[in-house]
Amino acid sequence: MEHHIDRHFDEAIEALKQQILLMGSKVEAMVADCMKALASRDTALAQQIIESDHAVNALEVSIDEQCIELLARYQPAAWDLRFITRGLKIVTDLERVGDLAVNTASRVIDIVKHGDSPIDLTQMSNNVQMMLKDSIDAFVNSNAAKAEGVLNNDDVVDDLTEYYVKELLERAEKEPENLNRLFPATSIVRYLERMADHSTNIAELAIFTAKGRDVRHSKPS
Amino acid sequence: MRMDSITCTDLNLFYGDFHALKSVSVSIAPKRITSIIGPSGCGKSTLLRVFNRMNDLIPGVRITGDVSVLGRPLLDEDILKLRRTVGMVFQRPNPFPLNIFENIAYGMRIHGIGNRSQVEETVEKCLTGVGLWEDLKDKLKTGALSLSGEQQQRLCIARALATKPEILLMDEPCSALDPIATAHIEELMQDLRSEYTIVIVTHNMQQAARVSEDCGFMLLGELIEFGKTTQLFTAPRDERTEDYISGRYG
Repeated sequence: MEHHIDRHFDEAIEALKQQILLMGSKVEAMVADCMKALASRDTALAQQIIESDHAVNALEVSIDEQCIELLARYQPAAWDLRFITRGLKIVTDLERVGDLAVNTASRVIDIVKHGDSPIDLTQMSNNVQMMLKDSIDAFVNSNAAKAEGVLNNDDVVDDLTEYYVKELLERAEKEPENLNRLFPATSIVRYLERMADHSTNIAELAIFTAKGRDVRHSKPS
Repeated sequence: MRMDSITCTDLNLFYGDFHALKSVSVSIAPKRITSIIGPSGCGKSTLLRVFNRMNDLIPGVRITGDVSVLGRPLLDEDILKLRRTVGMVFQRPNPFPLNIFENIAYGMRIHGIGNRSQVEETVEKCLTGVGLWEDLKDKLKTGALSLSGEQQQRLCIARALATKPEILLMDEPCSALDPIATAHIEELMQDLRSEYTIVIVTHNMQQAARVSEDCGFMLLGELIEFGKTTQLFTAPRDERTEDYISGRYG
């Protein structure tokens, strides 16, 4: 894409991209740390995740302000308009992923108080982190193909959710002594699934930004 | 079936050797506002002037292709009748150096339309239509050149309406006006939309986005893209349109 005649607008768009990437990387790190805290029974790390949420919330507010300022100052059109207005929506998804990471960290504390994780969620968590990263990259770099990959990955996460929830509930019947670890683990599976759903939202917004085609509530062609 | 107000098919226009319009094909829908945008020298005003044959008197102009206005070939139409059907408003307000009443009555007299009372009735109706009647009804004998820029432009629109045109061409109608006067003229255009087909050429992309339902982007004599204004400003199909409306052109 050509540069804007007004280079200040280019710089402002670039700054917005960097802030969205920063917010995305913070949220990804929160999810990764949740899994680390669970594997190593590290309640201090889990507590740190809970406390780090305010930084994500602050970024949401600041990115919102940046977007509104760009709309007011430059009256953008075409890709610029799509990028800035979708940016406003994407930060809401990212902020909610941050909230879900906080919930996950709380459930991690519940589990590790009573022992080890009752289930290995590495594969599911890796998938979710990849979906998050790819969806944000796809948005910032206007890469519709990458965003479509995220949409396909959501089915994998849905399958894993079904598999793990079924397994955890079956074990809950057989191992009532482990309920205080199995139930929080079920919640974590659900939180990861919802994080994947937010990544899917971001990917759909990335496709609209890249191509001007709204694929929400429909399968991409 | 809907009849388009203006249709062009493979329209080419040459100023001597200079190819100013290149194979332009477009249909302008009735009772809508259509904007034409593009950088200086892209041919947008030239295209607008084709629609009421204002280029005819320019030496060396040659036109090929087909243009129809209200279903009739442009060249078959009597030029006075054409200009009565297709009114024009220019960039700078250009009232005649006559009083307010005579500015509006002039066109009717030239075309031999109406008796004295019909002329008076039309003057009132046209001034009301452009929102000037209440302010000016007691000053109709005042010279039009004493009006403010916005009032002069409104008067010029009223003058164009007096001959009961079906199509209004507007060439940068607000570029000499301040933002408040511009907003008033844009509001007037919205009010007129239900009765007239309006084609506006503008450098102001936000204006095109605000007022028009259909929009065309021209570059170097070509009509690059034509479609719904919302589509063109949110997701243009052509990269050249995208670059221009995003301020990436040049």
